[in-house]
Order: sequence, then C-alpha cells, then structure tokens
Amino acid sequence: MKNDVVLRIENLHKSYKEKKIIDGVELSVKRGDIYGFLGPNGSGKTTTIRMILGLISLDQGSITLNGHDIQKDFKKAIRKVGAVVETPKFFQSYSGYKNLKLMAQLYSDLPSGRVEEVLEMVGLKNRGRDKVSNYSLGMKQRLGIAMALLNQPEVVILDEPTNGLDPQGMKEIREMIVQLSLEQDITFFISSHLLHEVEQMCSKVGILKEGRKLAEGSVEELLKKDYEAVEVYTSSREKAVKVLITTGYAREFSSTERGIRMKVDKGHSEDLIKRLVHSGVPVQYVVPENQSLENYFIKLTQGGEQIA
Amino acid sequence: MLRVIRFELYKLFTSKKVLVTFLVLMGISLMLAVGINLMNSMEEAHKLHMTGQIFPVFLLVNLSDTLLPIMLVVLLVGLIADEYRDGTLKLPLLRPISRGELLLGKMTAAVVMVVVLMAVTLVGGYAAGTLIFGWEKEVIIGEQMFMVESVTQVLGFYLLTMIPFIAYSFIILFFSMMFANSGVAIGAAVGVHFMLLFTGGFFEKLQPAILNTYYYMGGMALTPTLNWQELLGNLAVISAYMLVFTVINFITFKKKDILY
Repeated sequence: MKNDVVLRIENLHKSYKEKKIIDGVELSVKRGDIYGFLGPNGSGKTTTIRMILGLISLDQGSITLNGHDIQKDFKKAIRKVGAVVETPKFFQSYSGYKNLKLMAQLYSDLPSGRVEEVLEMVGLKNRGRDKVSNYSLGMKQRLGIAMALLNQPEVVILDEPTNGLDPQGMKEIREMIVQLSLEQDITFFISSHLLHEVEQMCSKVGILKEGRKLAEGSVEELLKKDYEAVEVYTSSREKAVKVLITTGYAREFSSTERGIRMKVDKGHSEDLIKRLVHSGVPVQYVVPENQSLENYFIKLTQGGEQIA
Repeated sequence: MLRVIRFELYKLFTSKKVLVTFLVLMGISLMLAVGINLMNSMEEAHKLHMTGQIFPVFLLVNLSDTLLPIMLVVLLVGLIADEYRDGTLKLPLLRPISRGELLLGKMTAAVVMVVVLMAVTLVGGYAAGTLIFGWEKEVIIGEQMFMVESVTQVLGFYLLTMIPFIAYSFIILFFSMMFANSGVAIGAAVGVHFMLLFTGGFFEKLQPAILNTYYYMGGMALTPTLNWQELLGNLAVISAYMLVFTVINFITFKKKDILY
C-alpha cells in the first residue's frame, strides 16, 4: 500500500490565448509522500493545482486522483481529497465554526463532532466561534487546513500554505503538516516557492519552470552527486591550480575573492589538502560548499538544465 | 442534492442584503398606501378608490416594471458573481458535488427567492392596504374595474406574476456567471430588463415574444373566467425563456474556469 500512486498527472497541457501555461507536465505522488511542488512565481503551480481539483479545464492530458480520472469520475476522485487553493477564502460573515459546518453538510458520511475535531487539530478550538473577518492570516491558513481535513482525506493539496505568514507562523504550519502526515497518514501535495521550507518538510519534490517540469525525485536523489564543490582559501591561486590540475580528481577551477573554487570527486578532499601542504601552497581554510535544494533549484531554473 | 439546495438557501437568506431589501419593500408598500390616502384626501386630486383587498394587486402591478426586477437582480447576482470574486465559489466545488448539482442548487435558491419576494410584497400589500384603507371586496382602479372577491384571486394574481419572474431570475444567473464583477453583472441584467421593456413599448408586434409582457399576466386571475388558451400560450413563451437560459447556464457553468 505504501507505494500506491495517489496522484498521477500525465501529459498535462493548458493554454490561455495562445500562451502555453502548462506544457506536458507529468508527475506522480505516492501514498505517504509529502510532495513539494516547486517553481518560481508564475511557473504554473497554481494552474496545475486548479486543474487537479477540477477548477479549470484541461486542454490535454489526464489527472488521476485516488485511482479515479477527474474528468470521468470527479466526485469519486475528490471524495477523499482536501485542498486549499492560494489564500484560503471563507464566507466572511460567518464564524470559522459555521464555515466548517456549512462545508460538512455537503458530505453525507461525516461523523458528528468532526467540525470540533478539526478545529482542535489546527489549534482553533477556542476561536472557532469568532467571525472569520476577525481572523489573522495565520488563523485563516489554519482554518483552511481544517476545512481541507473535514472529510478525513487521504490526500491534502495545499497551495503556498505559508504565504504571507511570519516566521513563527510558517514554522507552526510546517510542523502541523509533518505531524498530520505522520499521525493521520495523509499524503500532502504542497506547492511553494520557498525552497528552505520544502527541503525541511518534503520527502519528494517536483520542479516546475514556465509550465514544464524540470526535475522530480526525492530531495536526497536530487542532491546526490559524485563530486563536491570545495573552496580553498589561499593567496597562491596559480600555484594551487598547478598542483591540483594533475591530480585528475579536481576540475573546473574558478577564482574567488579569497582563493579558488573547484569540483572534487568524492573521497579525495583529504588527499587534496595533503598535496597542497606538501607542495608549499599556503592554505588558510578548505571549505566544502553545501549542496542545498536552493542551490540546485537556482542552477536548474536559471540554467535550464534538464534532469528528469 | 437536497444538501446543496439547503447550503445555497442558507447562504442566500442569512445575507443582510435580503433583510434590508425586504424591509425596504415593506416600507415602500406602506409609503405607497399612505401616499394614495393623502392624494384621496385632496379635493382637486383624481380619486383612487382603494381597499385592503385590492391594494396588494395595485402594489404588484406598480412594482413589476421597475422595483421588483431591480431588487431581484440585487438579491440574486451575488449567487455566482460575488462568490466567484470572493473565492468562495470554489469551496463547494472542492467537495464531491458536480457543477450541475451546484448550479441546480443555485437555480432552486433563485426560484425560492422569487417566491419569497412575492410573498413579502403580498404580505406588505395586505398589511399596508388593510391598515390604511380597510377591507372591501370590489373596487374600481382608474378606468378599469377589478372585482376582487377573494384572497384566492389575489394569490392567483401573484402566482401568475411569479412565473415570468422565475424566468427572469435564470437570466440574472446567466449574467452573474458571465461577469466576475457583480456591479457589471447588475448593470447588464438591469439593462437587459429595460431594453426588453422599451422594445415591447416601441414595437407592439414584438410584445408576445418579450418576457416583460408577461409580468402583467396576473390580471388573468382576476377575470371571471380564466382564458386557458391564452394562459397556456403565455406559459409556453415563458417556458421557452426558462428552458433556453437553463441550458445556457448549465453549459456556461460547466465550462467556467474558476480562477479566484
């Protein structure tokens, strides 16, 4: 069951007035994943999410949710799905509780007390009877998640869930998502342009740029490389390059403010330091550069490198 | 399906806009009754004999052209346009409900609103009329004589007037769907109403095909014998409007991209 695909997108296309917004996107989300859907602003993340949820039509392609094609069997496909699209919106004149109650009435099989339960899950039990118009953005995000959880979903789709929140609010939402994933066994599909956030909570990511998928895989897979980037702080740049260029494991040298940067095959950094020292190159520091999702993303989206 | 209808009715009838509109309608009923009473007390003025029984009919006849269609537009346009713009239209669409079911719920809510609007006019008319003029069965308004012998006749008058208004409510929903801005949707729906009204006024031959013509078919309920042939003809034209706009609304709503 753990490897079941709960969301599958195949050859998805969407255009508005001749402009391609989504161009052949394919991706799959497995049960239990916290899937980060990354992309710069305007890359087509929200459009893709709206298509997954049947809010906008598909020009071409197919979307399967929980084994049901959304175009052929939307009601079955959406039954065990919860979602918040962009900033959560509510009926402003009602309380948070009333908003949830209204939505709960649209399901035929919700257990009684579910509204109170989800309010408690998101920490809004004490403010549930307040009017939504008096809620802060953080509270609205929480209420949006509560609404998405009403139907005891197997998949929750969140579009930029921490947008507009302060750092504390962002942390709380992240923790809540991870907790729900673990405790309730919910699969999350989360769009974001905040790489640090995705790196912290997602097990798998898909990267979108100008409507095309550039990469997909687990964070570990995407960052896995057989080399590391190293910066050597030295005043003798030329001598250092002369020594290292013959090793065979160091390459792509470039000058930096404090020395030189290069790529070194994994497992050779100790030998690199020994060689430099034995050759009389003054070495102040050898600093490995961390390969973060952020670096990877920037390289991918700015360089246009096709990985997947 | 009943869940969707209940959902739509709850939202519609808990809106402050509805309460304010109904209060305004009741106020206008009273003001009109008081105005006629004042006019009748003036020596030179043309006397308008009025009773509590006939006043609801007089009221509806005078509001059908202008105030009631505008009120209906204001009350119904938010069902789609405002919700679309506020981003709340997508909330029920993220539940296991088809677009067809949601639209049907909204159309049912629109029909109920027409019925309630008529009921408020009727109650306001009876209350104001009886309070100001007292109760009589037969009356002459202007040059036309109406014999209103029972409350049933008045109810029949309201019921027949209600039918073309239901067709108009479907037209309002169409404009509510077409424009994301409710102001524009209101302008378009009211504009179409007056355009049809003027077209009917200028081109008599077109009147049978114009919906507004049938806003006055309630008068048939006040005649001693009902002209069934005429009634069925009227209903056929109104049904055509209903059918056309139901089909257009379903197709448009199904294809509508929810971008807010």
